[in-house]
Amino acid sequence: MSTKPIDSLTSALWDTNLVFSRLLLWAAEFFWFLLLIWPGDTFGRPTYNGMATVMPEQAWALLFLLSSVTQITIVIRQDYHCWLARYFAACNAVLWCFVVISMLLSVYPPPAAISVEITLALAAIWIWIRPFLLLRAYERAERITTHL
Amino acid sequence: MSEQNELPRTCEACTEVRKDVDGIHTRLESVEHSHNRMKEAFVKNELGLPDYDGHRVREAATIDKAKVVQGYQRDMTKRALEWLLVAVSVLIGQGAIDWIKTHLK
Repeated sequence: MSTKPIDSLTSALWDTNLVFSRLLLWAAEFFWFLLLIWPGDTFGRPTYNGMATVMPEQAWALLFLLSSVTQITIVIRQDYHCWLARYFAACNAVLWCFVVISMLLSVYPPPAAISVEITLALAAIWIWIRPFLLLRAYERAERITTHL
Repeated sequence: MSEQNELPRTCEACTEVRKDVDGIHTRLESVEHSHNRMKEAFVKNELGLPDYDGHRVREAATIDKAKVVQGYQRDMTKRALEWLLVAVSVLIGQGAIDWIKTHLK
């Protein structure tokens, strides 16, 4: 098998700064906030049963607003490795994973409309774990090259 | 018979040679200046001289480290693709089981 696709994907996953992924997450979180505070009972639909058992609709809206504000603040400050950015990345990944899993478990068959949410959850997880994986890679490189 | 390295005797030839020598001086000064600037880029060793060998060793180590990191990144990408493939296969399998159940009823 040709190695070019793997090399291209490796470069796309590791040699980019993920700012656009953060911007997409910010936009998605802001739209979640807008649509949740929209008048009407959004959580009345069975898709949101899991989320409704944890918090009321307005609380989720507030959470998404807080998340979007933090996300855009990190992008504007361009400080992706400060303590706020690191802890936020973990919280953000947990938030998106919870939203996706709760929606998947609430209805069957899985709603097709949450395909984007699944993708955003994967992006949030990647933003969170990539620095740790890179750290592991550098540690391994240090260990191997000092033993040479 | 004239000597091979005999200097030119005419004034014109002398001027030409002097011009050539001046040109060589200017070029040598430029090379010396560039060489000194290049030496400034190197860390000094315990003798106060540019540490060329240390620089080479560090560069080689950096290249080796980069190769290890790239290999790790490549392995992780492959693993992520495998996980993705498994997840998609599970989804398709689940869908297929549902479809078979529905059509067998």
